[in-house]
Amino acid sequence: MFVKELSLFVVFLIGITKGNILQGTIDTSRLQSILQDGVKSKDISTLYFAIKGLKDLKLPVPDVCEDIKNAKYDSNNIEQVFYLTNAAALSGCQNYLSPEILRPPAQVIDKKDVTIPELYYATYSLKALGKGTVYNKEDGLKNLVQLLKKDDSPINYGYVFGLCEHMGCTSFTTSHAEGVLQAADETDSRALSFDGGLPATSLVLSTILRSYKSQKKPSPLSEEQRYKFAEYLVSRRSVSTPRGAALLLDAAIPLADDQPSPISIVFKGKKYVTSDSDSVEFSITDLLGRPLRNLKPDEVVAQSGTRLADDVVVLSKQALTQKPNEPTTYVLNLSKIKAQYGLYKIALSAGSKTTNVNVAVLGEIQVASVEVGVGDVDGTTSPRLTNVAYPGKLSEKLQADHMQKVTLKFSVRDKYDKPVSVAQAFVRVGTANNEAIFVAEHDNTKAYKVDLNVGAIAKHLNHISGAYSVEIYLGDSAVSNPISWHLGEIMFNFGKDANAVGAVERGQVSGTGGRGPLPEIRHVFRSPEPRPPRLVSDVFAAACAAPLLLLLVLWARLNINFSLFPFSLSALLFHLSLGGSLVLYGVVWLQLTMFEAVRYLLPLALLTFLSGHRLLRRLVQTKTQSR
Amino acid sequence: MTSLLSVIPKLYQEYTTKTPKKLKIIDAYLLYIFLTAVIQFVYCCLVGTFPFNSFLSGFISTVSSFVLGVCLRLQVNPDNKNEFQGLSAERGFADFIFAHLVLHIVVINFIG
Repeated sequence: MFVKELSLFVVFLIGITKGNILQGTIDTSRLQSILQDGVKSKDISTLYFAIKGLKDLKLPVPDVCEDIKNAKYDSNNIEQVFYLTNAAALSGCQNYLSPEILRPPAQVIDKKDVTIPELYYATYSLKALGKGTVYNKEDGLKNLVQLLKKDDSPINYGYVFGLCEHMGCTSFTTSHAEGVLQAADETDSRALSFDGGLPATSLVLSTILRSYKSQKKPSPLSEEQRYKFAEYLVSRRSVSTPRGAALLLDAAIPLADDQPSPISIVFKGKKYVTSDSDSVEFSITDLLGRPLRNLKPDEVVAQSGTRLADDVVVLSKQALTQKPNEPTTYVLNLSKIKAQYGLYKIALSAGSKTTNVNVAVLGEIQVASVEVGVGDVDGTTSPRLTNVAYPGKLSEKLQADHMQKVTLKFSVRDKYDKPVSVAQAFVRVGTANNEAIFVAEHDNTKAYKVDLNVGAIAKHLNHISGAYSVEIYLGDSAVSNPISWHLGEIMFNFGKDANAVGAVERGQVSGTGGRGPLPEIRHVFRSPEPRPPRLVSDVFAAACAAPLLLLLVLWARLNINFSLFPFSLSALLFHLSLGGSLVLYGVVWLQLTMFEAVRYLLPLALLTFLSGHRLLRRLVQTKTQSR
Repeated sequence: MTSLLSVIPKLYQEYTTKTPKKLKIIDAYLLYIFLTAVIQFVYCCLVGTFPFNSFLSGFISTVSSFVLGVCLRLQVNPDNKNEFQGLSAERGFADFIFAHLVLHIVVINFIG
């Protein structure tokens, strides 16, 4: 069962390999449903973007004038005023707006520290009401350039380009567009976008493309930039809000309309051929899934096809046929190569663009029969062979002990009875909770043979003698009918010495079920090393103290006396406190903690220091005086 | 060999006569420290280092006491007067006491 799933999974993994071509399109019908839901919204920005997106798609906008009339907005927020006025303009409901709405944009334009986005919103709000005429266009542009010097982010350039469309300074756009496009960020060297995400990218791209179009100039985008921006837009196709949908369409529609449009090649439906269906379909479209205007049907050609396994070229220059009534669907007939299953790499070109796709040719395999033999390991006796036909079973339970080996021989054939090799050929030997899987390998004639040396496989089966079922698994990523064949049972006897081990193992397995919880781990402290006998340590303690005696003796011999001892207060205090400190150390060793000790030690140390200082100064003084 | 044998008594005589009494007291102290360290080391070789921190603190205590003693002897020695200009013997003794107090609080803490 799992073999089948595995091979299906592999088939799904084979997609289009990476190439300089789009691998997806933006699904406009999905965006359309998002936008149509958005039109019902009461939120003014959602409503604006929904209407704008529908206009971009050239779809009818339902009557929203009542909603616009009752829409709540903050008159201090110029962005909301912009949404309201432009939604009204796009849906033809200007007459439903109160004249009050003119005030905020006029105030913003006269503001001193106005920003570029505010200017954009205010100007377009006025324009929506038919009032936005700019009288002095040169001064206006100079002003904008000054503002750009403060903040030259790509999105601000986008707003200025947008304002230029209105003011009629598109020549500024065309002279600055290439520089701005250079400033786009590249991700994974595949996609280009502007700092600020989809809103910035959408605004800059759409304003630039519109301005160039209005001036009837060829677009400034290089082919690479075209594909990379398109790649970015495709990566954002899963937007879920009307705002995202409108922004996406805003950029994608001009980009797709701008020739040469980026090409997308994707599989339509299945990515494999079987003996029943011998063609694969591709859909070759522009960014928005529309047919390509400049692509002639005879330009879609499979340049070459090679088998991945051995790099044999199997087809070249085979034209694809356009499906009738479906201008975006092209059919590649692979009946030539379906005889031999496997993975094929096909270089597909549409116009000047080429991409590589991987196609799987699924074939059927069959196993006629398998020979099972039990013979001696040293080959002294010829093995007794039993033939089992697929999908039958062994008629009797075979016996094999540790001096013997079991041999399985079979060959895998394709539909045309030609021997083939498969990627996965295994023999499983096992019981319910104990199994070992062996790889079957084929020789030059593609005949598979597995030798199971009973003595050697014992360690894989925990040395448990008994009846094991034997199964053969055959599969391949390009095989449509993987085979799992239960052959029957074989009694393995792993011999005498193995039994002893086996008995223990069996006990464990039955006790814990093989996978039960392991015993809890408890921390064990290191056990202390044995100490020396009491006598030894006492002797050494005395030995350590002995030099002290020697010291006293030596000092006595040097005739130490205390005749010079100054019996002053400081001298007494010094010796007492020093002795006290040393006694305290002893107490610390026996019972106190360090913190307690420090509490007692600090005053003692202070006393020692003061008295010691006084004493020693006196000593020095007497010495210098006596000199 | 004979010269060596003749030198030793002479050396001893020189030491007993020429060395100031203060230095002799310090030398006796140093000898005592040295012997204690040796005995501890012998114990560790014969019996083992089991409470390793105890052995370490005892041994290091003797070693550092020895070093401090040598330092004191250097400062007190009148022959080295030029080396320690402006540092009296009393100052050296105060340093010696202070260093000992700090050293042994660490030793006691470590001895366990």
